[in-house]
Amino acid sequence: MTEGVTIPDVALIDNTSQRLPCVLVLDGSTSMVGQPIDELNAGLKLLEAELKADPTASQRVQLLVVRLGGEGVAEVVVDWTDAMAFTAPTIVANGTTPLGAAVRLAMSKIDEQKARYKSNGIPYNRPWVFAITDGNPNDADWELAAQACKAAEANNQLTFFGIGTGEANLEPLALFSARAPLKLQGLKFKELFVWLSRSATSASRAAQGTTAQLPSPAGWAEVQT
Amino acid sequence: MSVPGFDHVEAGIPCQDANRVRHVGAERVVAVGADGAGSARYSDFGATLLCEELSWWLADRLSSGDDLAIADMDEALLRHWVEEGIEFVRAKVTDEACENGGDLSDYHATVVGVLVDRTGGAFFHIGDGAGLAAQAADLASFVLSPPENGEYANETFFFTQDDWRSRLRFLRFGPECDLIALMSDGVTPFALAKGGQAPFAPFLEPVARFLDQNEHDVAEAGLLELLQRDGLRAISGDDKTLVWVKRTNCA
Repeated sequence: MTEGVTIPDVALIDNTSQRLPCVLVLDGSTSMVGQPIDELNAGLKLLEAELKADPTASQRVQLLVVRLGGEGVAEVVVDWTDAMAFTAPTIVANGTTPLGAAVRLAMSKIDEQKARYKSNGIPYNRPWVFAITDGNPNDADWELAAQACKAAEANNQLTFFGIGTGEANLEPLALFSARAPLKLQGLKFKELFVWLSRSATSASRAAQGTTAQLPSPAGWAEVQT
Repeated sequence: MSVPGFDHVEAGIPCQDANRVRHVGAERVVAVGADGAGSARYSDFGATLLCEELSWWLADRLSSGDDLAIADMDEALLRHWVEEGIEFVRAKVTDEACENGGDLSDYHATVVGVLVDRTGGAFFHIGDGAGLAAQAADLASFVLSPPENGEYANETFFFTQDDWRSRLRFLRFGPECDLIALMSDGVTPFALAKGGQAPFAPFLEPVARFLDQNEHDVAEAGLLELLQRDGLRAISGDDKTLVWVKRTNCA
């Protein structure tokens, strides 16, 4: 008797404006020259397409891209932008591996963005930092930066994912987080960025009061079984 | 009513929202809604137990209070009733947890509830979700118990936490409010306006009109269809609870 009942004229609009800030810290040092940097850049384009294809993630995920390389340079190559407006940058490979400076820059940009969210009343999830590198950090105070990052994570200020590629020594990366770094299988950057997109989609949809269940990284990472 | 979210259906996860409405005599109503945390393994049970037992406890207190009007209850008595009720439920959950080898955190759930009579009403609330009291003819006049989160949007507060008393909020409304609604965080994104501090009239007004013009079974079928409508998929994949109390013969 009550089948087919519909309440008419109801506006269904998402009024939350919730954001998931996500920083990519990408290694643009000389050791990435050739196929590794090409694969990294192809992966970034895939990340752009995957995020834009998801209606929720494209509205809620915000990205910032930091490149490390040159003469100890850490630089913002894409400032905070909504996923729907994100254009994948082309990362150039030359120079050193100032991972400490790059992570400090990421943390500073996160603090700025949190202040912006707060002043505008925008709810947000805990920020993510993905650091992808194939080398040993070689800036002078990278260990202090690693300590600061680990402390920030322990204080719930961010979540850090360390990903080593090529012949990367994972021991330095392990100092940035209580979470063990992962090793990329070969040059599976595309698989990594598809995973990142799906994880961000999952977290951007996570209900309040829940912990996002991330997909398994087994498709791109060397995971012990 | 409480309906499972799209994400929960696809993942085979049970609905972790619950609600219970109890009438006390002809003029008083107790309603409780709860949202179990997705990260807690028995939160669906915690939410259901909380709604059943807390609504029963408060209905019993209202019955025992004879003609005590809610508008005449002082804050201390109101708090005493609700805190006693939550303690009662926490004790039951603790027993359950002991049997299952877990602890209270396995049953995490938020709670938003209301006591209503002809003199007005009072919301009690821990965590996210919302309680709304308004005049159906003019939603610009409203009282809102808003969601409370931690720093991050996906972190909130539960009746099962040690510091739950400090998170327990109360908010009263007067007899002029004839529309009272409880909603979980699966509903607030489209039922509240941006910022979550006011009702969103383009959603609520057509619903209020429809529920006012139809008998209970038709109204319920309409609400069920609405909360499962495909247009909500991109807004919230979470479970959705909407409890709607319509007072008649208001002042």
